[in-house]
Amino acid sequence: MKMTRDHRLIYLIKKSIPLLALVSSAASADQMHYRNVITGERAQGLGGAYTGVADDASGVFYNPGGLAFAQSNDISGSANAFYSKKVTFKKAFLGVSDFVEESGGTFAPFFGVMQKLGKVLPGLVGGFAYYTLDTELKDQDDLKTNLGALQRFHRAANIRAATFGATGALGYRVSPSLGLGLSFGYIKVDELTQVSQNYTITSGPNYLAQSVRESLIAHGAQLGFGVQWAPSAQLSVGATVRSGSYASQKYSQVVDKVKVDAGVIDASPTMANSDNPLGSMPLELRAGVAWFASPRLLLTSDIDFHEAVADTSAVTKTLYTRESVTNFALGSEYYMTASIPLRLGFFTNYDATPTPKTSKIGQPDHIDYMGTSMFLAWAQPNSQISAGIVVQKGTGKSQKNASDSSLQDIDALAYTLGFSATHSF
Amino acid sequence: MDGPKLIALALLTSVGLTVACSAWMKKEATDEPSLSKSEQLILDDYKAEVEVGRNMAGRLFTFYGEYQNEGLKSYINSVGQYVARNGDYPDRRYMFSVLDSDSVNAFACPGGYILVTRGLLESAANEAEIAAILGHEAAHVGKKHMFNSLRAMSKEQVEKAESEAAARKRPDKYSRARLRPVGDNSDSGSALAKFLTTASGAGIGILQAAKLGMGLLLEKGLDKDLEFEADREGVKYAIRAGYDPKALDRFLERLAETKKKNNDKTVMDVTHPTIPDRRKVIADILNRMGADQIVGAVGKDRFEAARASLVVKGKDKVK
Repeated sequence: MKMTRDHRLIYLIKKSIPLLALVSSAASADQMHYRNVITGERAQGLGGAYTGVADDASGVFYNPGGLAFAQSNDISGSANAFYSKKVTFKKAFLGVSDFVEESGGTFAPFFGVMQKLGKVLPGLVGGFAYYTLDTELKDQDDLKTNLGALQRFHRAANIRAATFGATGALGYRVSPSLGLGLSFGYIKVDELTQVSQNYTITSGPNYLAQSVRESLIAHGAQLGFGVQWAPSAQLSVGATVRSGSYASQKYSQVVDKVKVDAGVIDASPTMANSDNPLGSMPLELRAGVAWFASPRLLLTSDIDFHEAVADTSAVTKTLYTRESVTNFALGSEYYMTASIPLRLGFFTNYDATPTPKTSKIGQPDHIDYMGTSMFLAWAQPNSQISAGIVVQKGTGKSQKNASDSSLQDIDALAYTLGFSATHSF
Repeated sequence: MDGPKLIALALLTSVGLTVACSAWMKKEATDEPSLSKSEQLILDDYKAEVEVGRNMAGRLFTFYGEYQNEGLKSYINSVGQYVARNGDYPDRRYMFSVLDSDSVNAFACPGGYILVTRGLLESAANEAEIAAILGHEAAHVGKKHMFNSLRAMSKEQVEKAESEAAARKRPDKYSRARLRPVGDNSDSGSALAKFLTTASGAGIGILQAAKLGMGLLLEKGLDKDLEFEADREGVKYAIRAGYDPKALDRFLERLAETKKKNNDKTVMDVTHPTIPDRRKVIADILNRMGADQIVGAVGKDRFEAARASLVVKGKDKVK
């Protein structure tokens, strides 16, 4: 599911036209939302409420302890046919008109395999998963003309960004009712943002051109521990803790700006680099309950917590500062026939960005999302294919105008059409 | 002739040739003899049987692994084909091979896939015993014991078998609670499945039939009367092929002694009638055929020569 990625990609236009300014605090990938992509074939339909189940290949991500309860060897993949996102900044453009950002594209969020390793050790299950946590490919072009004193405004933005992980995990059935698991994963953040802006006005600094290029590449590792316990046959409780750190972070920013004011040319290109914009990787705690009410009905719920992390980089300042976030998810699965399960999920996807305040300026956007998922699957004895949609609707606040502490409302809508398949062997 | 005319002529020639070829191919297709409804049903029946059997044989190969000894496989295949040709269904297709398993067993899958274990070859004393065992399995195939048993299953029997299989696979209550409904096989996935679904039984598809068939092969076994019939027919086929009539009886006698000595219980004990009961049936058919008057080949030397390459892994041989 796509979110507002370039909520920091702000064309900062002061309301007072004579001092129209253009300052970029350029884009970053969306490290601020933790449920942008719902991973896993079955889990996707359950809105990500899967920590208490996790007995398929996606257990590598949700809870390696759940792998111990695997029913079969699985190979699973998700190919999201299409995603789309629209973020509307209300009256953000000179206080009179909305500014809209749209993006769309395709991506494959998940591929996983799971293999029982009973021949090595009875009760042992191994798994591997590749998953996309967030992705964006944006090509935006905005042109405004003859808006009062603003004769012409043109902004072109291109963003390519992805965060993905590759994790291996082992689950072990300690007893019939208890499974433990360990995971070790690699995380990569790769973002590139290029923005070009020009404006011409009738008074004050009457021409400004600016291009901004930002790049962030980070490599990290995550270690996870999961447990799943079944207090009764129908009930399962799972918990996961994941901690990691970035082995390397490389952030670079180049701003090339030319301003013409009353015949005076002011050109001030700047370059800046940082080796620590993301700070540490937030500790993640996840807990879930699953009730296997009957072979046809499954109800699940999840709660996950990500700790707060401060951005201490002198270059990015507080751009990547994250508050602690707690998200919730509910899921249900009902087999309408032996071959057709319907899955529904509800979840939150809160923003870790601090909420903008009118006492400050130049703050990044903050958008909290509520999401729902609905998937239908077609089950065969050894395989299953699922198709459905995940919709996220968000509201929030932005501060689009530089040197202006006023806040604007944000409405956001994102959806993903998903298609997944699992084969058991 | 100038360029445009040449191109036009080439195009016309191409179109003409294409039309002529299409007409000829259509005529060829039309000239193929069409099958009557009953012939088509027989063909569909056979295709479905082969499909189920192939799936089951594949599962057995996956589970046990094929014993990689081309010489031995070739030998078993030649003995099996020879016995089968002397059976009541010589026109059927048979394929014999060896599974890499210590256990003493043989499997007959629908469609003619007959697999014997390495353990069985280690336990046999001569070619006549192998011939009688392969005759037993060829009788299962020829009389379509497995295929007809699967097709005759009622919906309740199918559900019960699946639920039992599921329970056996996932023995603890925590895993059972996670079981989801077993999805139906898709008719559209296979035209062959369509035949089975229109049969008089539970309407099961190829994959489901193969799974249930594996349950019969490895866990439940066929009806006892069908096993007795296969024993009678197997002995008959082996005798017709010129083998020692009492070979199967001697093999079973030795097997029973070994089992008793080792207090051994195998899959065969669950899937087949008791050895004493089988020997009674064999004694009866031998008596009716006047086997005492028949002198058959034992084929010990040839068997030993073929078996010499067998890598013996098991400990408890029937000797």
